[in-house]
Amino acid sequence: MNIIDALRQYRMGPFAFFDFTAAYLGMLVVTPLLKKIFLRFHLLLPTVSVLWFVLPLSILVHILIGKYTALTTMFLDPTQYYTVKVIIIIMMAKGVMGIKKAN
Amino acid sequence: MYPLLFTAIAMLVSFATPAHAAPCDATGLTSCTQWAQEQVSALGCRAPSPTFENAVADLYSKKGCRLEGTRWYNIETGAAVKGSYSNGVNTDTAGCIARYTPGAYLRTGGYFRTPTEAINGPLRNKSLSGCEREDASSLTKPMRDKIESCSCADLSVKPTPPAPTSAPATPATSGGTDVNNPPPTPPTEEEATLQGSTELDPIVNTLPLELRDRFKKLAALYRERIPEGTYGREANQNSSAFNFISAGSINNIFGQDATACGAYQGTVLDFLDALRKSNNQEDKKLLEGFDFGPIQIAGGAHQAVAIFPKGTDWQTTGIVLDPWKDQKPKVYSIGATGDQKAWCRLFWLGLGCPPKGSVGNIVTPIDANTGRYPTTPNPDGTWRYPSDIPRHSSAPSANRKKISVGSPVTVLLTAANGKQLGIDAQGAFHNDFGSSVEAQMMSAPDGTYESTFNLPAGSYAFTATGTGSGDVHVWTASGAGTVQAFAPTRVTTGQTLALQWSGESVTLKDAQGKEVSYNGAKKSLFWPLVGAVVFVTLCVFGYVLYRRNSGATSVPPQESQL
Repeated sequence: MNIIDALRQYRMGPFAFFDFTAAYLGMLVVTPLLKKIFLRFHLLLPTVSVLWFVLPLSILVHILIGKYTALTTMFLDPTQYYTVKVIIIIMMAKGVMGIKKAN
Repeated sequence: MYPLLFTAIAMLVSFATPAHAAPCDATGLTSCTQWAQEQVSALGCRAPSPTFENAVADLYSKKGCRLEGTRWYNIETGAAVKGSYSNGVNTDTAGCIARYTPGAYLRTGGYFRTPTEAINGPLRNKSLSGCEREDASSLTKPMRDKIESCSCADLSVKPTPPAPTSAPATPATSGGTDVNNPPPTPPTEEEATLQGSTELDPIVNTLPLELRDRFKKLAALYRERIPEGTYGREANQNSSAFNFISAGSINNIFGQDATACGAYQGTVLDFLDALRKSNNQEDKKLLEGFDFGPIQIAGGAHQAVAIFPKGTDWQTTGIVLDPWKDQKPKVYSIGATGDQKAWCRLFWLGLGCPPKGSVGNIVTPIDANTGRYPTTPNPDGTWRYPSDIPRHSSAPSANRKKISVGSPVTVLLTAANGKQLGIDAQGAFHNDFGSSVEAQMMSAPDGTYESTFNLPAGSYAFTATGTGSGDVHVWTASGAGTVQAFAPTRVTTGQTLALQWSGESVTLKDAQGKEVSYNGAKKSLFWPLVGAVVFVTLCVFGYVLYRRNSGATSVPPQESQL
């Protein structure tokens, strides 16, 4: 078992804690870069917005690369898991609402 | 902090939400049950009571136990159900086995775990339903769908439409019976016993005369008591794998441990041991004149059970009880018989019959079974190994990597530590893993090969070499991940495909070295489209909000605290 497999074995149901932690840490690492990019478009991107975007973006990326993780499948399932869909949409909305226009 | 809180809530809610739709209107259950019983009667079978009613009620009301992959769980609570075996009876923590399994069948050591098994199982078992329908699953599927979708409630009160009569002429009748189309008569006990005998007779005829009847009864019990694996056949009927690899391979790739070959070997040994130690003298007599024991092939990669006349060489006279390949209790001859391919050729890919490397009735000791067999009693009449010991069972698939290949190719797999498994370019067989892997390399009915590997976690690579021209179908699955179905890849004789599997990343390259996509074009187009629509909607939503906020930002806002 390699190190990644070993870390991914700690789970809550189908969700590996490692995946979520890595996603958040990864986004925090690239946050300064994202802020600079947004500033070029005269937008202020607060760190908290970046964090709001983590789950919606990870779902989007998984959809685009065609890898259907448990959370992606739940989000796309039209018949159930409505709470999850609502939470993800709220997170997306909160992220967008945090972005402001820079002077 | 709020984003993290929301994430935690999303994880909790997703995990805790049982995957089911709203229950049906409870008032329709009675008529729904009545309709379902009519459907079973129409098949010439009877529905065992009250387990059939329980099954219909639980399907209708979205209650009871279900199987989802390797997970057996209570649909209402989402909690895993654990089974156990005590005092000769199977039981479980949710009481589902007792709810779904007729008492008489339960006492034989059999069990049904879910409503679907409770409906289909008896239809495959003459003593439970009066009929023996191999196709029970497909026969009852429309009925089960209607029950689950609550659309069965008003069906039983509707009069059955008369059969269409295309010709005005009245059929010839005799005493009120259509002599051209007489109603089916239920099979007599003797006829029923002989069902499936076309396949069995050539095998039975290899036995000494005095053992033949006994073995027929034994085979009938074996078919009755060994549960069919539903996961390889029923749960994956829509899988692309279904047309290219056996039910056993599908079972392994999708990860049902209880009906992998090692676990099935244990189940069959338990069944035979239960007969051997039975208080029922009739049952006990069935094994008189026979020995049985665990066998394995391909260096321990596939396991089954052989039964053979006492004092004979099982490699010549053995009859193999191996439910794995078809996921139902099948009987094979160790050598070719009638139209049936020899069991050892079926699995040994030309390594030869009788299987090499065997000693007595133990090919190679298999973990806890070591020394347990033969079953011949001691000279004083006592049994040598009176107590039960744990069986060799499949390694939990949650920790395994699975690969299945259905195609005109032979496959040689190499682990990161250099160990090899499969057939090399010279046609030589390798298994450096022993029985720590499960592997089946079979010749398929169309002359191609089927290779299925169930491997410990690690990094692997394989080379598949074309033995003819045709499409190669490759599936991979890890315990925690989803099954990846690679697009069919064309090969000709001598061409090679290469697969690399390290961590979670699997890549398959075709003969031209081009990476092969997986999971099918239809799916990969549809969901990205859905994703794009969702994304655009959210962007528009975000843009509107942005426009609304943009007027009041003369001073850059402070960042919210984390």
